[in-house]
Amino acid sequence: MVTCHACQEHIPRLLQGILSPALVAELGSHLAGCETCQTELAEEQALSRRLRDVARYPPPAHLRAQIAQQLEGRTWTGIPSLVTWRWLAASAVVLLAVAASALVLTRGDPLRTFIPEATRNHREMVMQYELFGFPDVGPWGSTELPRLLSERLGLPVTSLFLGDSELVLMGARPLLARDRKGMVLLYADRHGWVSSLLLLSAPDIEIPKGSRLQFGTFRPYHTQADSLRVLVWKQEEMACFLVARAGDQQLADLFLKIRRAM
Amino acid sequence: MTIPEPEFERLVLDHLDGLYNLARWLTRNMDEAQDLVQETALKALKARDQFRGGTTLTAWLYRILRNSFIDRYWKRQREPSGQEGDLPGVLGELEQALEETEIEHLRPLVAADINRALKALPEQWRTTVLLAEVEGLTWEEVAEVMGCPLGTVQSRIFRARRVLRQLLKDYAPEGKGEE
Repeated sequence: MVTCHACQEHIPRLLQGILSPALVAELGSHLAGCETCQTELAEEQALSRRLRDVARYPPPAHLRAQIAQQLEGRTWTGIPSLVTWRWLAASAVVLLAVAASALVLTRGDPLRTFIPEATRNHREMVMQYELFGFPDVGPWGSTELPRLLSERLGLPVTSLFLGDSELVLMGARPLLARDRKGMVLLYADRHGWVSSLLLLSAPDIEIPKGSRLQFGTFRPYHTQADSLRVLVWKQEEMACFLVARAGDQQLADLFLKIRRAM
Repeated sequence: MTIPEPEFERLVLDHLDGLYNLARWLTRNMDEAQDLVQETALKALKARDQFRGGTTLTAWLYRILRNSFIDRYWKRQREPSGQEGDLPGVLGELEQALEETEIEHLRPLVAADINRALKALPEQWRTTVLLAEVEGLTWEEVAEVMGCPLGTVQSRIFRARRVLRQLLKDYAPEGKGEE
């Protein structure tokens, strides 16, 4: 017979998944008939989700390259032996091949070009937000944003998601990405969890048929870059890149809010 | 068996997000967190021959990072530059004392959000919770990182969660489901 006290003592271990099946079954029986412990479990689960969602600082974009360079620098100190030279020569061939294919990919496929642009802008906006915050979205006010995007930047925008009770439009910044005009918008919730939306004139971008996620009636392209989730879709001649560090459900909710408002 | 160097570098870089996150929480400073992660990566590469089975690479890396942070802290404490306290109050006497306090004796604080609530925890509780809940380490791995018995990890998690919930109670909207 499991008491409420014992059940609540076990809940963190239950969430960690480290209890024996027999004990899990016992706790399950108790939880089925005990509202107090059900509430306790729900609150513990909510805390876990909240911790996972917000207690995270993404590394600056340059740090990965910087560390990789440092590690390689340490590896290649001293005079390389003949074997090392051979290995270096072989590596150089491989690196050249990788670089060449990357060049073909980025030049030949605008989508692959702009996904790094979207994540870089996301990180910059997050950094700006963390350092300085955003007093508002600009002197024009958020309600003027769609008109600004349409009239000044020539983007086919008639309406935008301007925030709700859970998510606030924190800031917007015009940008030039490979000579294309666009705007990046930053949303944040009250816990400091942020996401960004890059809108870009991109008539030549084609979204691949594969790697799609189904959210409601929409099927945006999905990829991951530097641990960020990126959703891409097109509206007329505008490409939209939604970037966030999010779980599946969080990403779906975010996307639907933004997509349905446009 | 020693992991080959290129493979080891890749594995270290795979842990970058988590290492930076913990470094940021420990140092509360973007530049210092970057330095700490770089120092950790180099130390790990240099000492990779010492990495043995019986622990995971993840736990081993986090342990190097945390130990490096503690070294920096004590080194700074010894510097005659009057910089004591530059690192934000972690591992200090207050933090050690807080380890044994009850909830109502925690420093006065209105938890405006979970980050503030986390910052109110003693470093050892906070790091334990971050490793277990945010980085997804097992409790055994957390014990390895923190250099303490498994029972201590369990106790810290249990107590830290209770404190966090207490701090967040007024903040959580009524009936709002978490996504």
